[in-house]
Amino acid sequence: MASEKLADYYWDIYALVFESNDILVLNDPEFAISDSDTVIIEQSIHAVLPFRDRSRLFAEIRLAANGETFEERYAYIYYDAGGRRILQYDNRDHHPEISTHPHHMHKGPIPITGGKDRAWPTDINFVSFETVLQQIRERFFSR
Amino acid sequence: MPVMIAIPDELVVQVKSAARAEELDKFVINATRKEVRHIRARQLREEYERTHRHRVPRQVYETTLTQVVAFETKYGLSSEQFLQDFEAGIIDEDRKDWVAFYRWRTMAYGLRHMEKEYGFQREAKASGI
Repeated sequence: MASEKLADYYWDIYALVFESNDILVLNDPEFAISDSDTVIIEQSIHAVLPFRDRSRLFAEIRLAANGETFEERYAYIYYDAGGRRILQYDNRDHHPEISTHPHHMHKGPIPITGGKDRAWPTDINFVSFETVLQQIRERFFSR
Repeated sequence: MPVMIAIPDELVVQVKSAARAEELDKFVINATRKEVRHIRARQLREEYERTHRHRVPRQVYETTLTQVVAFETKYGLSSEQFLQDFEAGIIDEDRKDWVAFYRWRTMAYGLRHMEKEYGFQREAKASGI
């Protein structure tokens, strides 16, 4: 049943978030994650995850439940403590030149007005809430 | 008594590819961590079911609709037009609020899904479109 699979997917993410309390600040007023009813009915997840170094991850995920649940459309945008974007993973369909199209990533700060936000092939084989959080952990919190 | 278990092909490939001992250790640790997470997820869900009342689809729909209408009003664009233009790269992110369009996109698809799934019809409209 699709709603059951969506619920399983959501609760695994929820457990992962609370399991990650060594790097996340879950009592930060900015912390937010959709409730399970919204996820099952709207088939979307919206989340803001504050990290202990005051960086922030924004996650916008559109789920599809076609047999298995998967992240049909996603954007993960990671900002440093100063509010500068460091990383972004998304699969918006506007970079056909990228080898991993539609999956791609952006690095570094958002360009100033008029500048092009260069896209790169994604460095995660299978982008998901879990793999993005793992990537951030390894790159920014494993020393 | 022997017990038959099904092993997914993906798991077999991963174990075979873990040639070195430390890779195998990492694999086992990750698999264990995942299993513990499933257990914790079930506990969290049961706790939630005991302590919360579920929202009905109409409530979720109206909450999402309110936020979608706010986006439409702010940017002077219908969600249908926005989705078309944003996905095609005709419009870029809002540089003053980089996450906004991704959030709008997620909600607009969610709204569309709920209208199809539950037969809801939009009553609220954005002003100035």
